[in-house]
Amino acid sequence: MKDLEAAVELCNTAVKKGADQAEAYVISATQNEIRVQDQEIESQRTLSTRGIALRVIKDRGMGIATTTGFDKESLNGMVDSAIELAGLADPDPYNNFYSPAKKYSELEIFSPGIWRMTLEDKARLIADVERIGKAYDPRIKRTDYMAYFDESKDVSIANSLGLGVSYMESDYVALAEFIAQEGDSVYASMVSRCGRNPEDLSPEEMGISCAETALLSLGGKPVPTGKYPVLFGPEAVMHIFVTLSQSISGKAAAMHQSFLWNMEGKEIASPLVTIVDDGLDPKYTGSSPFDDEGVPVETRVIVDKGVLKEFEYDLHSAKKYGRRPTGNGRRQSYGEAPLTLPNSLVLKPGAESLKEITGRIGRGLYITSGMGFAGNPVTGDFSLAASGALIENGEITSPVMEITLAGNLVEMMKSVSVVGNDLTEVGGGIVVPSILIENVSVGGNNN
Amino acid sequence: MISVDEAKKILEAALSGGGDFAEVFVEKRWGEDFAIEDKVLKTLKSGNSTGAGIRVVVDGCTGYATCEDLEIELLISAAQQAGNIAKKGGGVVSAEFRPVKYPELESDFNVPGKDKVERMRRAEESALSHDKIAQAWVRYGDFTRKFTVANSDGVFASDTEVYARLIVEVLGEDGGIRHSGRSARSGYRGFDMYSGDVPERLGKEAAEMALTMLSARPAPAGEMPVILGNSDGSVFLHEAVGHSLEADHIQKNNSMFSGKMGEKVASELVTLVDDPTARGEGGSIRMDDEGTEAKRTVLIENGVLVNLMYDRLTARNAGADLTGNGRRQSYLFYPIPRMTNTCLLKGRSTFEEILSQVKRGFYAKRFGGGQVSPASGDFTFAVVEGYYIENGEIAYPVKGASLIGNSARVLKDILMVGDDFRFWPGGGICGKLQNVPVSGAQPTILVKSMVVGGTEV
Repeated sequence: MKDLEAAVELCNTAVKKGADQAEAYVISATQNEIRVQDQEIESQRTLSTRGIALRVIKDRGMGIATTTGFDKESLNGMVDSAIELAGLADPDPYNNFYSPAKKYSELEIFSPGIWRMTLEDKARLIADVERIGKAYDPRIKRTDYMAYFDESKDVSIANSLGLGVSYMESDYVALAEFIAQEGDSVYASMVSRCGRNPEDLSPEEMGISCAETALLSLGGKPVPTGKYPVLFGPEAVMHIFVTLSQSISGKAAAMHQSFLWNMEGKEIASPLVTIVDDGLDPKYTGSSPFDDEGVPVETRVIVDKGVLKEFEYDLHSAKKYGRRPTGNGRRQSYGEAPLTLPNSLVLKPGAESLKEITGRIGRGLYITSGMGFAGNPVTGDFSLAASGALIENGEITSPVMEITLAGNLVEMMKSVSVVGNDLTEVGGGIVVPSILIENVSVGGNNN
Repeated sequence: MISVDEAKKILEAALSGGGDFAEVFVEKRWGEDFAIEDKVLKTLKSGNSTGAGIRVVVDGCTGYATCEDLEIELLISAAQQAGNIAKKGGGVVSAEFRPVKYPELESDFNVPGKDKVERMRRAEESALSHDKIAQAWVRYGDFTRKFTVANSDGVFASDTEVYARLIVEVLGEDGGIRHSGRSARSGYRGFDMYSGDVPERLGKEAAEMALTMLSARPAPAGEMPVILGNSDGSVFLHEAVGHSLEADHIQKNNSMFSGKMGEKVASELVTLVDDPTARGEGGSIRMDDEGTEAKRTVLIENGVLVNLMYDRLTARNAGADLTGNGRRQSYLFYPIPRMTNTCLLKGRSTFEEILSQVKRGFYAKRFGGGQVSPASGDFTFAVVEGYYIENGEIAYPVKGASLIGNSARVLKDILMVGDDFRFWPGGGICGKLQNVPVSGAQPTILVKSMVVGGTEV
């Protein structure tokens, strides 16, 4: 049976068995993972998966059941346990499913190229990244994790209010980790690229970028503790945006679980900062015509020239807080309940290149890599272990490692003085250029 | 789940094109997840999954394919797909299988849903009974996992695992200041893990952490002596040291410990053990996901590197004995070397003796998470509960701190090890490419110096 038909039928069964409302979400996927080491395939993994999640509302309580089994017995068992759990849950008047009203956008997010390529073609892509990186500089001694992933999936959602929609999507991710070594100094750099079609991946760009990142920090030392202007490369900006994506949820705001909770309509960043949830741009891997509750995805301005415009809402939080659902109900896998998350969070690029921004800096830091869990979405406290290089008189001079960057995210965002032009999808639906932030607290040595 | 005969057929199909090793792993998993959010019991979820993963190893190269239907014909075709990487001759499947089965578990999760809810409510009430605790979230999750693994060397082993987590998170609010608190109890143990006053204690612990941190001052920045707390502090050694002792990093020559076997890599005060045998902790498994019995492995003994954590593939490469560390998240993954419970054995100093040695320093009691580059040993940790130390006394709590450093250096810079060895009751989910539950244990530790990342410069 087709996924969408199975979803519709499951909703019918649930209603027949006593659910007031029902919603079924089905995802079928084929995934490939290829890892390469020293130009040889180290492993290849092929997954064929199909999962189904049923949510039911009965007497205002909600119950969820999930399974990988599509036989009658599994499906009936799933309906029974969802209804039973709905009976155990507290009645919550804000539980609701999407009543189809609006038209969905047509998005070209499936690329048949992903099927045309052989496993050997895909392995060659990532092997080329390794080859080009190692050839770039003799200090690139080894690689640790060279991996290529792709996925093609079918997503279907139906509910008892008449919704029945599906889409197909494909994407790929390539990851490279290079180990640079010189004397006793070792530095591991990691670069990832993603997109809709593996043919769009440039092994040259990726190999050189990963090698340059490693060589920039290799042999680095801490700088003296103090305040510095810091040029964050896209991979470092990502750490700020990961925290931001959890903080623009309307639910987190209403519950005071976001440092932005009382900032709607207020200035939270420099006027140079405009952030858009661009969930309808097919280039970005977070984009799709509707979210995981069937609500149409929109292109929405979150921060307009520094001013926080609006939070994001899934179906439950929208009803609870009297807002409209914004198409941000996202399940991290079919087995997880939807959360409020951005689709494709884009920081609008500026005009200046990395070189031009570097040229503006008298004495500061260029940070290409961060490590760890940087931001606290509740308080906005930010602290990132970082590496990169020192900038003196507009030039990159010496490698820097083992430092921390810290501050409050609102203060940091307000201190953005330049936004670069190098827009990059760094993964996880985050698309950002480099930015220069003034006056960042840097923890280093005590000299 | 599958019979010995079926396993043989699948393994023969997997090796029909050649190969050094084949394995079939079959898993059924089921469990429940409940959440209380803002006093409303919602997100009640029950789930199950069934699937098999088949792998073939040829000249160190792994082929892996999965199947979610346990029909023998489909398993055989997945086996052939996994075997596609082999290009020469036929591989050999052992003629003899020695089935191993572990005894029935002492406890499980066969209790009514309302009992699980009752424990969650008690934890919630306990947390909210504190002044200034504005909100509480309580999450409960359990799973039962039955799995059978058979391989071409003649292993045929089955086990059942039960695991649960109860997590309490709170938000403390005082004036305009907000801070969260958290506590958890997890482990490979049935529902009896939450008997007695465990739920109340979890609520209290989370509340106390948030209340303490409400009065926290901004963290200092710079280099200073650091005390790592016992119990919850053990996530530090898991990340900073444990990952570098997993044999896959070593064999790629990408660990700071590569080529250091038998050498002194740490202060003599350090004896580090991977110990899955402690009952009911967050990494306490009986058998790994390759059918090897899980056992205690001494990794660093009095400062000397003596062993590593191996899965079957890395042990075979090194000619080493199996240590029972081949773990996987589910049938969707092939196993890799993973920790279980990472334990630093106890020393002689009392907590007070350690504290009195520090004139100006930082006490990291609980971590929010950490990350390490196994190649260089460079690490970073977010500290969610930390204190500034002045003149041998805890002066005040600090917020927004992180620790960075290099683990090879930290291991040598351990100056004192406490006598207050304790397990980390909350445990964690380690995400080295796949998620598996882990835990650890340690006493209080004094490190000569580390960089504390804060805003006070």
